[in-house]
Amino acid sequence: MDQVWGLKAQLYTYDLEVQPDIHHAFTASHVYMWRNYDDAFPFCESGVYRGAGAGSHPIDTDHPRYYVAWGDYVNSYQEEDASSVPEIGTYKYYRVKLDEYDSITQMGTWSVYYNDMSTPVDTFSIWQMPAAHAVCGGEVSGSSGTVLKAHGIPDVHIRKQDGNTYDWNETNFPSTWKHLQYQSWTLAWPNSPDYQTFTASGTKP
Amino acid sequence: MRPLKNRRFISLGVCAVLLAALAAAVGLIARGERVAAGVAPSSSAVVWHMPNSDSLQDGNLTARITTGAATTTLDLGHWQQARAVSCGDGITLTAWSTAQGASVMHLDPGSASLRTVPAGSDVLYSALYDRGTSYYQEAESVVETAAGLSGQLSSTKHPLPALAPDATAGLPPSGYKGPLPGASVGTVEAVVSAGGHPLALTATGQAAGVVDLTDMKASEISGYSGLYGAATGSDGNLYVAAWRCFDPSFTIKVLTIDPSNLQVVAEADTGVTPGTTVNVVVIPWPDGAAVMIAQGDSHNVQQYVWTVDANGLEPASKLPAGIGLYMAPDDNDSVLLFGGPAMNRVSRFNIATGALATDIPELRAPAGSYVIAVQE
Repeated sequence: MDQVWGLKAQLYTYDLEVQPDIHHAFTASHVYMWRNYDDAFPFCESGVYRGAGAGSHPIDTDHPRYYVAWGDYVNSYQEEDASSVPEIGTYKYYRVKLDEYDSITQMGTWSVYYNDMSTPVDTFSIWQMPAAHAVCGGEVSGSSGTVLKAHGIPDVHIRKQDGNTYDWNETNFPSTWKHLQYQSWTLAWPNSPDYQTFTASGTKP
Repeated sequence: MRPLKNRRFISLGVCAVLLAALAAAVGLIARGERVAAGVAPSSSAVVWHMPNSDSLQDGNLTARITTGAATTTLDLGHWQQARAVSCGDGITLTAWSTAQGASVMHLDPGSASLRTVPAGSDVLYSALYDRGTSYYQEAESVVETAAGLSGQLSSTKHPLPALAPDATAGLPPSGYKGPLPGASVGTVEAVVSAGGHPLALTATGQAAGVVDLTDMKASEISGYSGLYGAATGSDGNLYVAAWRCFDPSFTIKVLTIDPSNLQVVAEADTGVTPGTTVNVVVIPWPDGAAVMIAQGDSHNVQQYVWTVDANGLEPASKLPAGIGLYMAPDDNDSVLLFGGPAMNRVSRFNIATGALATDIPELRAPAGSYVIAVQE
């Protein structure tokens, strides 16, 4: 008997734009959830990238594309490159839903939606993440020695069901950086609700 | 309850004394010199989670303890998640709910007593309860909590060392966009007691390691980045299942670790790729350990059981689909299988003969519930 857990959370993020003169490889994840704050797996994320694709049908692209990536300890890294999305900016927000938690296998089934689409861009199961930390707009990586500037309007909040009333509670979600890969970048996203600009910049040597 | 069951989780430091006392008692009983009087009847316990019907999937956690002809039912509270981390010398559970956070619980069927230690807000997948002291991960540390003479809890934090990515454990694929934590402490996937020392096994997805929490001596487990399930075997060695997170074709290995120097002394290949693994359990077993890997999805969970010792792995036993998700020690020949697709049913599997008894009546839980721990 599958146990349906129902909608657990919706994460909204910002309307991302990437400046048109940016042509190098980069990845900017906008929705990012993982089990423990200092852990790599399990996780799921969605965002845009330019450059090399991955997964079973990788798309190498010179135009920014959306992607969804996920993985856990045993299911390794998987990625779906959204070939159906020609340009970024088409979508204004994402939703990441925990659709089910299967108490038989202890696997969680997640879906990622763009905008108000009723059909998810991807649905996947990963091991044991019935609860997760979440960061929106939390990661930018690129090749060392390049410059990336992106701007958008962070409108990030989490909605979750109240355990008693099942009403939707809307909570401002603190946005934080998670800059992990390339030390050449200088990044800033002040964790302030009054600061409405998303920037990522680095200096070309 | 059959004699000599479930003594394998007793730490080796006291094992010899207890076994000697037990042997003496059994001997006395066998010779008819002391019958029953003054000898407490043995106890068994079954713990189940009964989900509620609402979408939050929380439920009631209950234990049924049977001592002789008497049955005691304990209400363990209202939790969204609960899982056993060891069954043997008592049952140790972790439980979590949004409202209460996480707790480590230890149930002693013999005294029908329950000890609960608050354990932070994160879901716990591992913990250790060892002679009145609990160990669990909280952020980048393992917290050791013990009760003093007054009953007040006192805690000590053991900061965990960071693990640098291990290139020999496999690198992320080209085009990888996921989290790259660099050096991090990762997740404590198991805490076990070996030689009187609590050992924490950690993995980051890019590296793995083991830490002795007594002196914080640490060692990397080179070539591996994911692990789960661990136990101190009857030979005193530590056994753990391990794999490579970025190499789905790399089969799961059972590592033997010498607890005195934290070095891997043997690797045995299960031949099973990690792909659809939904649970791994390692328990002590005569001469070594027994390993259970459950794979599949909710419609078809398949269990494999091995025994491992100094000579390596014995060939796997493949159980019929749906027998369970967990494994607990039973006696020197058998294990108990339960949980997940088996719901309220517990099965006994004799590893030596291959005999399988499904749905043992005296261990059955209420209909609609999920058995999460058994000690017989």
